[in-house]
Amino acid sequence: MKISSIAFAICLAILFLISGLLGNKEFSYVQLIITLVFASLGGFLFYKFMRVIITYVEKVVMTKFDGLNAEPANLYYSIFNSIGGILELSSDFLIFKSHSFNLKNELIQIPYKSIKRVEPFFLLGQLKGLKIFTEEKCVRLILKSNRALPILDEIKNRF
Amino acid sequence: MKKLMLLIVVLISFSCSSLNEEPVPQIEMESVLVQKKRLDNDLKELSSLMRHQGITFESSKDFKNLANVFFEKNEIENKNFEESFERSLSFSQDLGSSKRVMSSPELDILISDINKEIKNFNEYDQILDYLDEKIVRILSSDKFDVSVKEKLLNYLVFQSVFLKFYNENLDLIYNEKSNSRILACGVDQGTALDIGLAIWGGALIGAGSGALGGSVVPVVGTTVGALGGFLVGAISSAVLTTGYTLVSQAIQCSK
Repeated sequence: MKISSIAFAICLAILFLISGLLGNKEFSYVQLIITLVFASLGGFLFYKFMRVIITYVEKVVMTKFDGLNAEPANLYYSIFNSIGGILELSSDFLIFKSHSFNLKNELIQIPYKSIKRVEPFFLLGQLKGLKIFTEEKCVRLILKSNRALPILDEIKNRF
Repeated sequence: MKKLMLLIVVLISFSCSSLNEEPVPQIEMESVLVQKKRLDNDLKELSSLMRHQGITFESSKDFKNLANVFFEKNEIENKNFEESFERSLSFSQDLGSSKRVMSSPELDILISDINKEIKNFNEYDQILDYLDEKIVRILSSDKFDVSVKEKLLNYLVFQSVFLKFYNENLDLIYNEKSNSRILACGVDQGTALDIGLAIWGGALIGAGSGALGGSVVPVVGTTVGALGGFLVGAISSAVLTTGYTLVSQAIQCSK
């Protein structure tokens, strides 16, 4: 979310600069400084507001799956295609269930015995989740960074 | 607005009085066009001189001094200009009144009628068209004697030229004590449109950033991230654009 807030701030700064130049204002360093200050403030506001939304969604989803051995997770396909849901570690299966806020629903059940190997999943040099390799495919799951390694150990213990 | 009216009156009076020195027996369209061109060039030169010296109409003293320098070659023009300026200063104190600024009551009524009609137009181009049309009508009319005709034409020509001047030199016309300062600095020009566009721009940027962020946050996902980002981006952008516009304009106006 921090990276997306920085992206938002950069895009906002570009938007302000374009809007200023389209208004036939002469370019000045003062204008540039104001743009950077307001864009940074924009990034900060975006981060704070998005945290509120994320906390709310997480609370609603986790309440829905209450009682299961569930972890918040995303099924990751690409940077702009990721499905939110939960990861459940049942006795025989590793199950990913998407929540109802997604456009596309997914239910993936992987028997522990079909898992070939499990690796940490890094994105931009940061530990973001796990890569689970089966005979047919590789499933990439985004998990809370402090939960990725304990879950990796737990899965390894089961296959 | 008062300042604008003041300027109109100053320059009208000035141009009227200066042209009185040489009465023209018969007025032709060509001479009107020449006068228009001359005024246009004079105002252009004056405005560039004002801008160069950092003078605005806000300071009547500086403006008068500059005009003195500008018209120094012609003592009569300079005197006329100063008189017109003093007269229009008092006129501007009561714009709604029917205070006479022209030399004859007949002319005052005619000009007052023209002013009333001008107030009905909202568009700059409409006013210019109206003034041009009025010039042609007065030129071909037999209703007025030559001196009234001449003064009326002076007035219309000047109105037309000044409107152009006003539109091209908003930065020179402002009054610290009134809202016209804001008008001159451009805060109210297209601000709503700017903020509207910024909200949409922010919403779209927010949707992209939210999708990016949501994709790598457990539970959220791209869809929720994009929708949340759209909403949050629009709100953030609206707040920030308003602040950004106000701060930028305040700095611009303080220069």
